[in-house]
This record gives sequence, structure tokens and C-alpha cells, in this order.
Amino acid sequence: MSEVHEDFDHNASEFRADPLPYYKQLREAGTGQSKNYNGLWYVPTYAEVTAMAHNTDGFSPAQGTMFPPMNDRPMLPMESDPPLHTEYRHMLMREFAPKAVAEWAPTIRETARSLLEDMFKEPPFDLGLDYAKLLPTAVICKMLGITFDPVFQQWVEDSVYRRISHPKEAREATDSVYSMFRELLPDRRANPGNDLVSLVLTSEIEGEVMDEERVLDFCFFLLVAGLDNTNFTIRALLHQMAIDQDLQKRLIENPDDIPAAVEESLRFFSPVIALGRHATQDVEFAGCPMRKGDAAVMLFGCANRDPQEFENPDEFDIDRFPNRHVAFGVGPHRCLGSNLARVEIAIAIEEVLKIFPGFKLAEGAETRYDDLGPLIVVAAE
Amino acid sequence: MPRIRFIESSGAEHSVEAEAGSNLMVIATSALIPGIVADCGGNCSCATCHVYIDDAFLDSLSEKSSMEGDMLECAFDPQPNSRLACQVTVGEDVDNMVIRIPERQF
Ligand code: HEM
Ligand code: FES
Repeated sequence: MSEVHEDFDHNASEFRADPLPYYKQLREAGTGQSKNYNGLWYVPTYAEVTAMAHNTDGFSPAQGTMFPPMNDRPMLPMESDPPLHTEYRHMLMREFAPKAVAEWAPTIRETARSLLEDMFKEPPFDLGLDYAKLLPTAVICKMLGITFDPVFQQWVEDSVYRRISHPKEAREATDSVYSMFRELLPDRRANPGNDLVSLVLTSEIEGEVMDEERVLDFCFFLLVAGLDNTNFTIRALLHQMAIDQDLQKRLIENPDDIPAAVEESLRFFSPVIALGRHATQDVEFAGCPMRKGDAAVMLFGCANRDPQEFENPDEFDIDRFPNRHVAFGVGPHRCLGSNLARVEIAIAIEEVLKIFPGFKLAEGAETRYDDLGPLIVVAAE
Repeated sequence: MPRIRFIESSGAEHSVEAEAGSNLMVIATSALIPGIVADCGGNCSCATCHVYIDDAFLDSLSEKSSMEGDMLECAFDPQPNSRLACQVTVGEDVDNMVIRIPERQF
């Protein structure tokens, strides 16, 4: 057992504050077991992460993917196995596939503009808190066909952003969101529309519609799955553009380069640090003897800095080709919302650049990485 | 070995040697052909490995499953000769097959 793994904890604040040195050591040692979380295995390299993600027979997400777990209900469709998982994806893919998401683009742009307008009304403002954080919630609410209001935003924030620092409040907020969906279901069942809640309510899985509890698990996860990740990426890329004015200038002059900048931000900042699996049988993986039921997490951010896959991995380079990062995971569980997230991030950046070309960090702006990503107060020039 | 010709929407052409029995998406991504994104790594679950196949070769390829057909409807501008590259196994007789790459994958 290698020493670096033994004490490693992916939630430890020293690691979160400065992950790169840990990543390097972990990758050099390869997959190994920690003393934490009942002997959690950490899977650090690009090749190992990819191998585990593709091995759905050997490793299952159905017994939980987060350590510690977010709550005691399954996150669907993520925490399920084939053939059920295949049916779930099939049900949802139409709404999240490239073409369907492109149809949402005008709505996303309108939403971004109106958030920016509101933000202007109350200076000073923070593009992170007053814009980046609100956009993904506003958009997914529209897709789910539910009302986006301040109370709701608060519940979502508490359940997503405070789940580690304030587990009790987060839990209460999660319950409130579940209750909100529970109250809305009878009416939606009677009057289904073109929204995701109606889709989940009316779709047949294994030949019949799903019971209410399972429908609620879908509603909750579809709501929260992408919020902090998308927000984090928007903030991180805005921050990168504020500290690298050449990059910003290039994206203003060549908006066609924005999608490449979005991909590189996903690789470079990798908002999802770790998601896990359980071994379905005794197995040797990457030379390690894993027992049936052992938990292992794939370190996506670590794999995205693997020099075996990426040249100069610690450089932010939007011309990188190919850029086959695993920020969205890979394999059958690869992020269902990835196209949506890409479009949201790109539009969020485009709209800021239209209004604030040449934006900079405000004097004394705090740029710390916490659950929310870098905090950025922006000064327009 | 058969050679496959990949043509981007811009007209740029790439000729690649392919071993019979190999996967079209793997051939394309290993040769770093631009425009075949293949996000999910071959799981028929992302529709970003969409290609148009030379009509003359359509019948010589591995069959299209109903899942692939459904995914193709979710891609941009699907045509009767559309396939998801990750679901295509190439045979011996594909020399000079032309594969056109759509303008966009997502
Ligand atoms: C930058 C933004 C995002 C990042 C980095 C991200 C990352 C990820 C990752 C790494 C996984 C893989 C899970 C695994 O292998 O176990 C995943 C799954 C998933 N994501 Fe995202 N995500 C983002 C945005 C979104 C959005 C906007 C949605 C919208 C609903 C979403 C919905 C989902 C769902 C439903 C799954 C489960 C897929 C499955 O198991 O089949 N994500 N995401
Ligand atoms: S690689 Fe995802 S569908 Fe072909």
C-alpha cells in the first residue's frame, strides 16, 4: 500500500486548497487504498479512470457514488445499473441530446441577459454570486416546468452548496425541494406538458410508469445534478479571462473560440473531483486486489492533469487538440447534461463579453476556491 | 489494409488505414480526425460520433440497432446514410469508403 493513498481524503481542506501536488503523487503511485471511508480506493490516472468507468460489470454506482453520501435516496439515473439504467437514459436522452439542447439556446440567452440586467440594478455586483450561480438554476427550472423564485433558489443552494459544511440545513432544504415536487405531481399527472417532470411521470420503465418515490428521485437529481458544476465552470472561466487579458481579447475578437475555451476550462478546473463505484465481485484492478463491495472513486480532476494523456497538463491552453477530458466522466454514465452545460457556459461567457468587454478583477477582489469556486467581483473598464 | 477517406464539412480530407474488424469511431479518434467527438467513448449514448456513410458501402457495415436509430434522431441533421461511428464495425471490403463528417456534433 502506498503512503500517499493511506492518508488521502478527497474532502480534506488542505487537498482542496492545493490539489496539484497530491495529484502528482497519486498518479505516480497509481490506484491505491486509503484508511478513510472504510478503506476507499482512489483511482488517479487517466487510463485507470477510463478503465473503471467503462467496466460496468465489475463496478456499479448503484450502492452510492459519493463519499460521504449526499443523502439516503438514490440519485437517478446515475446510481443505477443496466438494464434499468439503459432504459432511464433512453427516456431522458431526447431532451438532453445535442439537437434538443440547441433548441433551448435562445431561452438560455434570454435568461442570461435578464439576470445581467437585474444585476446592474444593484451595484456593486459579483458576477459569480449575482449571475453565474443563478443561471443554471433558472434554466433547469424552465426545463422542469417549475417556478424559479428566491425561496426556491435558497433551498437549492442550501441543499447543494452547504451539504458538507452544514449537513443539517442541507438536509432540511432537500426535504423542502422533495415536498415541493410531491405537491406538484398530482396536477402534473393530470395535465402533463412538455417538461422533464411530465416526461418522467408518463414514461414507461420495464413496461409500466414509475411509482411516485422514484419519480421524485429523478426530479430532485435532474434539478441539482448540474447546478454547482456549471456555476463553478462559468465562474472559473470568467476568472481566467479576468487574469489573462490576452485570452479575453482573443475570445472577444473570435467568439468562435469560446467552445474550445469552455472545453479547456472543464478539463483544467474539473468541477467534479470524485465519483465512485462499488466492486461487484472480488477483482484485480490496476494491480490492486479489490474485494466485492469495496468502494473506489475515480479522480476526474487528477486524470485531467495526467501528462500521459495531456501535453503540458498544467497549462491552460484552448488550442489543445485533442482534448478528451473526463470532466463529464466517460462511458455509459457519462454526464447526461453535458451538452446543456456546454451551451450554458458558452452563452454565459458570450453575454458577459458583450456587456463588459475588457472586464477585470475588482481591486481587493477575493479569489479563493471554496465550494463555489473562485469568488470574483468584477470591475468593468 | 483498406483505406478510409474522412471528409470534413469544410472539405478537408484525411485518408486513414483501417484494419478489417475494427471500430469506425476508434479508427477516427486514433487518427485524430477533427469533428468526431465521441464523448461517451463508444456507448451509443451521446450521439457525438455522427457520420454520413458513402451509400455504396452502407450495406457492407454492421447493422444498426434500434438504440442507434433513436440516438441518431437526436443528432443534428440526420440523413438516411447517417450512422454513429462507434456502432460501426468495418469489414474487409471498405477500401476507399468515404465518410463525411457533419458540420457540428453538439
Ligand atoms: C459543468 C457541468 C457539469 C459537470 C462537470 C458534470 C459532471 C458529471 C459527471 C462527472 C458525471 C458522471 C457520473 C459517473 O460517472 O458516475 C455526471 C453525470 C450526470 N450528470 Fe452531469 N455534470 C455537469 C452538468 C450537468 C447538468 C447541467 C445536468 C442537467 C440535468 C447534469 C446531469 C447529469 C446526470 C443526470 C448524470 C447521470 C448520468 C448517468 O448516470 O447516466 N449534469 N455529470
Ligand atoms: S461515441 Fe457516444 S454515441 Fe458514439
